[in-house]
Amino acid sequence: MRFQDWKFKESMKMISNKYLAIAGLTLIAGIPAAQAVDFGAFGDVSYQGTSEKNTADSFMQGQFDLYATQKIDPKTRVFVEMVFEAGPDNHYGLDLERLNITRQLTPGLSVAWGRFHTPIGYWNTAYHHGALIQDTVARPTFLDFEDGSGAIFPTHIIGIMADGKVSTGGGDLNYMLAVGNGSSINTTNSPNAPGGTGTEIDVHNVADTQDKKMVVGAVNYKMSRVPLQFGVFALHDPFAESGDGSFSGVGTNGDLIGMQVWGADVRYASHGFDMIAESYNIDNKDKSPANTGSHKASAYYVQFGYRVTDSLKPIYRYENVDFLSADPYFKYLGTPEGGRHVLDLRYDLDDTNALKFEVSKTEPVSSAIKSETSYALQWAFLML
Amino acid sequence: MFNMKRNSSAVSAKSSNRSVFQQEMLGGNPSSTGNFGGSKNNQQRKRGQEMGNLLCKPKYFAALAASLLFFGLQAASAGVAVIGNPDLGMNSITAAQAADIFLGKMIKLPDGTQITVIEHKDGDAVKDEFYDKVVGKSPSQLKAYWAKLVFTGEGVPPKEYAGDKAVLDRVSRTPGAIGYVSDGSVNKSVKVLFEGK
Repeated sequence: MRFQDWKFKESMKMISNKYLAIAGLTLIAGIPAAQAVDFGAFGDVSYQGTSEKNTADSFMQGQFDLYATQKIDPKTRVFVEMVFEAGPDNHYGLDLERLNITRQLTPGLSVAWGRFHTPIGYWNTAYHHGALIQDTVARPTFLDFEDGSGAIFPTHIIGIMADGKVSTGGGDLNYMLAVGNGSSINTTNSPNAPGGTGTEIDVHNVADTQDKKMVVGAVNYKMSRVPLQFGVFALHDPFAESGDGSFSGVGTNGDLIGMQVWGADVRYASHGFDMIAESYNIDNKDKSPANTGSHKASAYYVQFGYRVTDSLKPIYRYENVDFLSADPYFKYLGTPEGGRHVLDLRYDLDDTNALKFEVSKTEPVSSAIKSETSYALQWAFLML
Repeated sequence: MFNMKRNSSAVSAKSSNRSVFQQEMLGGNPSSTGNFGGSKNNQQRKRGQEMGNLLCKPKYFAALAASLLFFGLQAASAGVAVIGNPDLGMNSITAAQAADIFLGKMIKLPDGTQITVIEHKDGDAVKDEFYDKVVGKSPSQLKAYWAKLVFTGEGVPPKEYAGDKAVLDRVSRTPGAIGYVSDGSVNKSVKVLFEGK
């Protein structure tokens, strides 16, 4: 190729790239103006350490949570949330955490379709992936998202949800009823299985492995004269085996656990003092050939916060998971039984960013597991 | 950081023209006008010089200063009026109630009427004034507030209309509607519920 030809081609490439970039930026800039799409992003960075000797203290890039929402007609709204997050292997992944379309049928009833947060308890419906929203650095361990190490519930549901609000003289009665794909666990990867390194709850984004579905219902009442809200909820989830069944004895896609959960939550939030408490009663029915029967378990947390100034707020939380050692569900997940104390100090620099310092200490029931003290300094923010 | 670098390089790229530009604006060497458009710029400069000469005269300067002071005071004392549909069952609200209504915390009036909030578009000066004086939030704080509600599914910001005229029109025609406008824009089609100075 002659030098002049090469130079011409390179120039053309630069020009076309430049115009492509300009066209792209114009398109992105034009969307919010023309269609009133609201964009926003949450993010966080942190430094975390632990008393666990095999884990190095680390600077961490947290989650980058990009969301967009638009009212596409007077009664229909679309919401999309994507999260970029790195795993322990230091590699980033992209998860579509929420994607749903909601139609308001009457002032007191809306129907939504897509992927949502499962309407169990207060925390999982009020606090999502944006770390700035929640007071503490981390969620209660047992309410971790499905890919978290302490998760015991399907915190997302893929299906249909009806929800609404009925206003009464003393407050608002909110209700939610959802039906979605059933969950599964690959028990072959269970930390208690031979060679297993860890498994997680799969909520089946696009392909369910069974016809049985998860059903969740919740009702809460928000008082208008007192900053108090309380609610009850129930969940039924037919867990299936998504591994080869070598550990559970259940064939692939076979019935593994029939989980029933019911619980209650309460939240009081005045200008200075706030409190959240949630309790979960769990009944796991073993569907494997071993058929060990039904196993009762419970999980709860209680959290107190007090705003000392407009910016400064100390928070304390105690959380606990209690189950029988014979319960196969917790054995598959490798959940440690016991409690955890969490102490946070939050400093809001503005409405858009906050510094949080958290110290936590685990209290495992088993003497074979060492208590672990962890600390984290997090800077969480919101981009508008 | 990137912007700073880019801006500084842009400045340095234009620095060769700066002295010529300064000479132009300061009425320097007329021969340099060739760089900026020739005779048209000459005329503009001439008009500018005439205006400058006028302002140098004490009586014109005093008149201009008095006008600026008058209109400045007018602007500074302009208030915001929270307005409601004339059929609303109440005639006044407090500042705290007004703040709660526009933050989506109060969705019904004490008599049970469902409130329809009529909001201004971003960029309307009265919006910044209302949120600063009545609600106590800056534009960025307001955006952050609604972003958190939208993200958690707890609320949706109200529909926005451009300018006082559109807000007045919508409030007057919508049962249960509450909005706000500059107090100078209020007319008889709505009732004033609260005035914030």
